Amino acid sequence: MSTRRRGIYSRLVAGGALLLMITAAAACGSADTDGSAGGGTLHIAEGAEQPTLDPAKNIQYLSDEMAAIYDTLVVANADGTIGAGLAESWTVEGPSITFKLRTGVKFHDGTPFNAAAVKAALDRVVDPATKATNSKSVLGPYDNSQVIDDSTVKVTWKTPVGAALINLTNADLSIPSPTAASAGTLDAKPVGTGPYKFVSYVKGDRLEVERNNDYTTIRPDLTNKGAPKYARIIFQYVTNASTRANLLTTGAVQVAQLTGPDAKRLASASNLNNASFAGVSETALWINAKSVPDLNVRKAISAAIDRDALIQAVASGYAETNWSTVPTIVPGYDKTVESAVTKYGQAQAKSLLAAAGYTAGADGVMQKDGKPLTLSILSASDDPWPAIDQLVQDQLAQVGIKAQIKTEEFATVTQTRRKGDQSIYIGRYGILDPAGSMRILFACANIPSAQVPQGTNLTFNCNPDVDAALEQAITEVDAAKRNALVSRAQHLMAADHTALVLYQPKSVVFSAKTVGGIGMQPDGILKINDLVPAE
Amino acid sequence: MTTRSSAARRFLSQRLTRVGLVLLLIVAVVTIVGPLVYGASPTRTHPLDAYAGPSATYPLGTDNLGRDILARLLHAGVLSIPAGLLAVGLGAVAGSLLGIASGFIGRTFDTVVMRVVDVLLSFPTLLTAIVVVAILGPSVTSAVLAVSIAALPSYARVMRGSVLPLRSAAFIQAARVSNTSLPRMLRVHVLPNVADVLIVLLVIGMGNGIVVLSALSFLGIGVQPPEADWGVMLTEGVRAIYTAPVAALAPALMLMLTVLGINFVGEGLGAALRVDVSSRRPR
Amino acid sequence: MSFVRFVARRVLVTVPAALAVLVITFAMIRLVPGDPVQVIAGTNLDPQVAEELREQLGLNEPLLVQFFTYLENVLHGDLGTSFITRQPVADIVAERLPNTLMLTAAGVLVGLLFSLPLGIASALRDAKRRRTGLSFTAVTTMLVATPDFLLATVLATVFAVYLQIFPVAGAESWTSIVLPALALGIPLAGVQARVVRASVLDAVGRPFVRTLRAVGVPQRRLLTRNVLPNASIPVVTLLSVEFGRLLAGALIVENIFSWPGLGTTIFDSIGRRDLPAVQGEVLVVALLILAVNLLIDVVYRIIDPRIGLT
Repeated sequence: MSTRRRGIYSRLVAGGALLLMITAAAACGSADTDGSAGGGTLHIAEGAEQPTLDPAKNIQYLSDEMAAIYDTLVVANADGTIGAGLAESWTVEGPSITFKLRTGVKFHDGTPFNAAAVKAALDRVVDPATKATNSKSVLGPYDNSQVIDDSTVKVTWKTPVGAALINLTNADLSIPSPTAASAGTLDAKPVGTGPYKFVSYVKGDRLEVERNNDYTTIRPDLTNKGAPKYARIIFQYVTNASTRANLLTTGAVQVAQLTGPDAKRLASASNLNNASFAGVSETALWINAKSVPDLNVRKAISAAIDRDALIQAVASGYAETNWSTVPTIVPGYDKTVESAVTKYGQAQAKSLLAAAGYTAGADGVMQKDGKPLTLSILSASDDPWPAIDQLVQDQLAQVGIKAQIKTEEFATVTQTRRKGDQSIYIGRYGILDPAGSMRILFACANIPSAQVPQGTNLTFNCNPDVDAALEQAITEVDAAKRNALVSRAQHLMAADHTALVLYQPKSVVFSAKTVGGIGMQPDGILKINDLVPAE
Repeated sequence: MTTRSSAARRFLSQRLTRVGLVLLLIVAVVTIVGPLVYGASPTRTHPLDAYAGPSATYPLGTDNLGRDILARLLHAGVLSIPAGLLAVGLGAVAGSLLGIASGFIGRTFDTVVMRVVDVLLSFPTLLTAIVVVAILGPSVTSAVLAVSIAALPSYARVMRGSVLPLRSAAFIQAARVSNTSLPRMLRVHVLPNVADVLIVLLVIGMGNGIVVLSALSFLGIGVQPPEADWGVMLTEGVRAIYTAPVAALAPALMLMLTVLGINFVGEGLGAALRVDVSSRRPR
Repeated sequence: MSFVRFVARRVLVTVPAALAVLVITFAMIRLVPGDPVQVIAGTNLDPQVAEELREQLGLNEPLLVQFFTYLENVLHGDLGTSFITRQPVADIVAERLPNTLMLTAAGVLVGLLFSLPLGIASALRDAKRRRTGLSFTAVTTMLVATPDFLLATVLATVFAVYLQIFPVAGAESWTSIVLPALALGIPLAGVQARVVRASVLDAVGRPFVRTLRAVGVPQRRLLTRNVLPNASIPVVTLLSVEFGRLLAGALIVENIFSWPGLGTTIFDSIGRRDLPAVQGEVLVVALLILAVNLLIDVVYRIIDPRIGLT
């Protein structure tokens, strides 16, 4: 090497390093002024952002921010019962529920909360001009609301709705200020009765809220019934999980949810706590009964899959096994379903295949009448689906079932899966109201076809008994009777082996040691008002 | 003919060329001989051994599903290299020809071609890729086509930029006056003068193509699971880079060796041609 | 052709191009499989509500009607309303565009800061020796060939997590832009340095430069007056192409550093089949790319007035 060359390169490197040091020095100077946890400000990193702050127009309900700003009429307790929220008490008579409302509650803009506000909120959901989406579906066959007096409102549905109260716990049916709602400004400046008042919002970046000093609550699921303990909360939107983990390690945020490898990585971090909570979503494998009509083969598929291995490898252990199609924490969940599902055992899988008339071919693939047993697996192509696909594929291969994987971008797969060319679809679903959700997922009428292009039953299986049980449950307002019907539907689904739950993911909340009171509602929303500075 | 054979000699005498060929030879040996020597299965999962560190059983450790990283690495090479090269190669050749012709011919042709290129450049690669998949179905061909379409506009524009100053050059004017045919003019007078920039872009693009292809794997196009190329291994590995860095770094290293090899050889070629070109440039 | 007439004509020809972008985007996003209502609905939406939604969003209108309504609105400056966020698309773009422009400019700047000195120094040295430096090729190749997500992750790990010099993510302070700009600019610097080097080498080899050197024109003067202007065209072109690419393509870097730019927005809009949002966002990016390329053609003309463009 010539000395001249070294000269040029070393000067360039020195120049680059100098530049980096200057910016770094400048950065250090300003870093101390912001980002610190003091002063009663809490930073929470959120992995997903609600599309809009108007509850009626929202399309997902897992939003901590909405729960900070708004309240719901009633809340779901951890044991599956319904607790008081903005409503103190209620009486159910056929298709109507009469709510006795709390008095003295005010919206953030000073508008009083009363029966008229509840009526306005529910009428607004069904008003076509609102263009409501999910909220309308959740509210169901709503008919009208009647203001009995200032603190009493009677809500009536067209038919009795067994899950009406559960549905009213959904954040999409939060009660917004009627003043702000009629002004049409909820998108930009949401006004509710919740523990925090809206301050500012930069889409895709951050949402800031401040303490509602007048806040009180009678929610039985909360510890703190008074005003919130933090002066301010800043929600930061960070879709990348590793970035959320990095923000936690550096102390830039104090609370965030993590999954998979990132949760595993921070599980032993000395400056962080973590707590996991059961969820209401299921990671599932739908077997297309038209493609796999033989029950023994479906049972063999169930026996080939090692759920524990999936939980370890894909969910990093943050999930639980569930043998029912209904989440374990949802009212009506029946643990006894377990006995009806064929569990992991490769020997059993092989004997089930033998019972179905299959014998191992020369290449190890099972065959019947000279035809090899080959299946196709379809899923979306984003995480974690390809990992699950490949694990399932290899486990099927170990019992002699050959499977081909096809992954597609999510929006495409929502269409492809309804064509029914796949033998297996792998994905997830969520259930709060078991009968209503199971009907959408498994009813005969919802099998996709030319007549039902929007069909949602990916088992492509029509079991009239399941339909009958669910139809009855949906209009049954007696909780015990409804749960018995839901239990029957679960048993029937388990016996069919058309929808296999692979695992039930847990929500894992990581928090700085300076934050206490971490808790989660059954629907996966943080108990915002319980968050409290530790020490 | 003498210039050609002396160019070949110059090519081989370049230090760059020789180092590059050695690197490519190493990659070739690993991907061709490797799978024959190392018998472990690249697709068998061991979920309970997921993200295991290097050990006697798994020399490079395991990935997210507990598959042997070394086995996957060796099997993946064959899938990695051709598709990446082809993808960018197609886009580069088509784009460069278009750009050279556009810049040299000029006038309305140039206007139309360049506006088409602008339009192409405006579409997100993702949208193009989804459309290609919708038409052709998920396959390596779709991925290759999507990447070539994405690569084409850059080559067209840069090559046009390189050709523009030539149009007014004296030797081109002279050639025009002497009624030299267009293809001949392009071949003899234009191409040699833009070869430098072209080779640089091609060489860089080809290496990069392998990585760009893997970025489309989340659309379900390209290599189908459980097969993987180095790009896909890298994409999967990065998710857990903090817990199991080898899963990402091993394929990254293989990619780097390949790309370095291609670049050295390409630069060697460029250097050999450059001397050649300057001796051929009409005075 | 006068300079003014040249620019006027050049502006005029971008109009059909913009129109083409509009038509093609409109068609493409509707041709691909996937139904916006299904994406909005997830698995839990009543099929009946889904039908109503379809009607409300205007998806039941014939395609031609949809197109001409859209065209008319765009001509009136109305980009429509997002299906998902119910926000005017113009607002979405207005929120994101400044961030995107800032990051793109910073990335390009980083690219130039590294590539110009590296490329010129290497070219001047090699021009004498007639061979390419092994280390130059190795360094620039590694800059280019490091995949963006790996580079971004490494930068974040070293400078944000361990050294804690720069913020991990976000866009609050000006220091937030440093790491994403490096992640975008470093690969760019690799390509750019190679092209700078090749172009300078080419210019140095030109007969008139050799002649000037032979008659004793000083090296520095030769470089600034003769070599660099001649070498700049491919470099400027590459810059324009990369600028266009970064406008809509800084996806992974935006994601890793939580930078609220257009790249992730376009990506999400496509993924959710948010038709008005995709159309509006792609159109704005296209107009910017057309504008940049227009500017580049004008710059060509200033660098070398003999270039007679259409």
